[in-house]
Amino acid sequence: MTLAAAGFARERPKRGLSIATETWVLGALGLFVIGLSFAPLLRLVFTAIAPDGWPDASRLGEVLGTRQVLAATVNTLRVALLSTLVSLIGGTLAATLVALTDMRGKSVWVFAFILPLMIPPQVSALAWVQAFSPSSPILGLLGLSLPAGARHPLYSEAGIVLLLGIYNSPLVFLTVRAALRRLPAELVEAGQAAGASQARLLFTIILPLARAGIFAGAALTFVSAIGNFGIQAMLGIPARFPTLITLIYQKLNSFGPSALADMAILSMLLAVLTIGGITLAGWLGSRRDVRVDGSARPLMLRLGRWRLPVELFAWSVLVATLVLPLSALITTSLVRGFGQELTLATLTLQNYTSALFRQAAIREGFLTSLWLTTTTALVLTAVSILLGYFLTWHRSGFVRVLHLAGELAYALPGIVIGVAMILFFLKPLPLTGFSIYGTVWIILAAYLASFLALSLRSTLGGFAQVDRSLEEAARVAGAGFLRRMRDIVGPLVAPAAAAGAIIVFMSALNEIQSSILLVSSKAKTLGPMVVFLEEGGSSTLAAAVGCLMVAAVLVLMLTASALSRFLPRGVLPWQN
Amino acid sequence: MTDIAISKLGKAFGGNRVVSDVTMHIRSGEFVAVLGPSGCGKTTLLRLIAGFERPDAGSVRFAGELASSATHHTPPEKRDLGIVFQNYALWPHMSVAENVGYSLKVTGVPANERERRVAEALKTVALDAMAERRPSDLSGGQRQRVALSRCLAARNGIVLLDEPLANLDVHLRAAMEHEFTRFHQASGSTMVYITHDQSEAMALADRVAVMDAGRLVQFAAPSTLYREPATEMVAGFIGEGIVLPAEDIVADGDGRAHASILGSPVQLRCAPGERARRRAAIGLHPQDIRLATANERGLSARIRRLSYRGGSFRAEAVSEAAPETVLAFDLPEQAPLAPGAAVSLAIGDGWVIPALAA
Repeated sequence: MTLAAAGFARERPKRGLSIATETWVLGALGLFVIGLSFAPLLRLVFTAIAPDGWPDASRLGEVLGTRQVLAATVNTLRVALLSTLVSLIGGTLAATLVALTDMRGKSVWVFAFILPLMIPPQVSALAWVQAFSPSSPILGLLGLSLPAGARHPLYSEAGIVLLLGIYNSPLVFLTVRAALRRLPAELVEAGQAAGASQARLLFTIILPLARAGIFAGAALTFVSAIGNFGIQAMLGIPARFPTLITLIYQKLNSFGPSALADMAILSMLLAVLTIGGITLAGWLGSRRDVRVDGSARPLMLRLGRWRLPVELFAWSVLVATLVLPLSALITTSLVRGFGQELTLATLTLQNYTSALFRQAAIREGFLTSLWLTTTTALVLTAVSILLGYFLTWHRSGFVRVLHLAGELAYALPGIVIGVAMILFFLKPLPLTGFSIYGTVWIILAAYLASFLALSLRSTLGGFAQVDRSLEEAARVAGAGFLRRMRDIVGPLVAPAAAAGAIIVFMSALNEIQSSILLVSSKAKTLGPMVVFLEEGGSSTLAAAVGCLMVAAVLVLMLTASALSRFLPRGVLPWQN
Repeated sequence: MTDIAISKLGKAFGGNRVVSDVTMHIRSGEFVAVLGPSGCGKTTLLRLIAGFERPDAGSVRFAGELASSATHHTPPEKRDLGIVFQNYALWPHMSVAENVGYSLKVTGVPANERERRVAEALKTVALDAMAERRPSDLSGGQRQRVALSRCLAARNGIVLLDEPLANLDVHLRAAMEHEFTRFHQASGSTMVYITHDQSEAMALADRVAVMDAGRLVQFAAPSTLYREPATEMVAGFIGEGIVLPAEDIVADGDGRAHASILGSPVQLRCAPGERARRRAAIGLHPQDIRLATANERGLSARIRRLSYRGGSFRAEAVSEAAPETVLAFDLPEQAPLAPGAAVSLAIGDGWVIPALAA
């Protein structure tokens, strides 16, 4: 008997089973994405345009026409535009320095420059508020304290613009750096051959060629500024400076019969502004100058005798925008009462022990957040690997729609997702008679909807590096769908998926917008804790919680960096 | 018995017909090469046989059992076939032995038998010492042998090879060709070998299927392709073939014919059923052209280019009568001829390409 005949005698498994598995999985993915991302948003739109079950524009017009809403919309657009300008200057300058010059110590500088983007905005805002308050421990140390009783300088429109601008600078930095890296050296060398000075090169050749990246970064920043709840709430509410996002939040507190419908309308307005900005960003990003598609040899402008002054400037900017506020936060977290001077006598770890052990509410917040973020990261990693498989190798209209729904839910401000979740899950789930509203499950649903795109992006980067034949070889070896996912595809995309999981974990831990709407006495999370504590006057405790969150972010960033040699380039934004 | 019966197979991608109306029967244990220029549809044919693509029309049967049709589709994992991919497709996170044993593990072969078969397969390709290595530690030729032994261990009745030598150095190719022949003898599998390299196809295969623009043009033994091409495309594609126009073809009924090429009378071979024709295309090879002797009535031409081939020159001559017709032939190294020289050429053999079926 030949080997072939022996092989063929091997029992053939029954047919049709594996098609069923793939269809099954795809169906489950569809249910997951549509059910968590798409349906709640649809419900939101429905509530906004048809509050009583049939289309009714009168309410819409009524709400949008009020002075309060008009003022909030104007305020939102003003702070978003002005802060975009600040980010644009800071981010472009930083990207130029990092991508084009021979500045030293770039990787550390980039890490520190991106770090603020990873810190929850409410913690950042708290740190700035404490740094610049009349009884600031840091300014006091420098002898620059503001007179007591004066209005806090950051509780103002300018304060919001400044903080949003600084917070979002890394976004511009990332897109501009990417654009500058695509720039072919030949174009610059041709300019040099023509006798142009370095400054002239920068302004007449390099920056004009990178303008697509600059504009795309600006549009992204605008969107991110509109949807930044942490800074707008921490500074805007005490300043009585209403913006759309804080208005939605405050509507929830004044819970009346029409509050939900009004929130839906305002959320839709916020969503429309966001989608407009994103469409603009996509359009600007795709308008790439054909001439820059050359060989991307890294180009290097020499700073010469300006190198040391430029480096000093770059680092002092980081000291002012990162070290100063964070050290105020740390200082506050180490004393008993806000405004107390930090000396050996006043030094105490009481705030930390309170936060971690003594205060039941905070401790539970930590535990709930830990549980929620771990579950979110694990579920989304599994979903991303499966969805990534279909998106990479079995693209169809259906999976594209799922991808789009995920991206949409991520792009919209979390507060919009929060409102959508309330509307969608307020009524008891069908068949069970059980409502998840007010429980920890609705927060989980919001996290799963919001962060799918984040996990998917990273995982797709991993898939792009895997040759399809590796999966096909497993198919011909006889492995069914789930078996292939477990034995072949999973291990191959694992590093990228793990990086995605860490990024999701970090974002979910910091999440404030949907959490602040969805938390209840039964389910508290860490994100809004800082705001609640600060509002309640426990500044030192708020500072301690904030420091713990920053520490967690740092640990996660460093963990992901340790994985970086297994990762496709660009998965971790903070790496140079 | 694992024969492959392909019937009227068709596949289009977005209105672009990539494979159309392909019918062929590959016998059990046969080594068949599918040969064609890039874009001819040979890779799609392989993916249709493997089950990675679904046909729009026609069917594929293995050992009489339907595997693919427009309405039925057995997924690749249920087809019991092996594939040697162009880039070998070795799983980087598994050792060599794990790569080779994976399909056995999936089908639930007991561990001790699995180990025995993996060791046996690796021994056949002389890689038993590398069993615990990672694929990244192997050379290109070694990776290729791991891919082969993966099919050996699985004892696949059908093995498909997708341009397996395309990524290897020239000096490794000859050795790997030998390896494929050995593999075929050891396994007895039915083998389908996709390639654009005719020397590989001719050297390895029992029969070669020539594809062009999605169609199967000719499916025959290598010597038949060489000596009796079915179309002008095959005649021009195989063995540096030359296609010349001929006139006044007269067949004498036993496979011989005479005709006139560019005004010179020639003796030709033809199909037994060939009839007299006014015009026909003739397929021949540089080996069939030589310098005419003094008393022969040859075809006058002028040498356009000479290139040294080691031991001989390849000459390209242009016919005086039809300047667009290029005749290539070999000149012995000693023959002193320069470009521009006028020569008289004799055609010793040629094949009358059959008229297209109406």
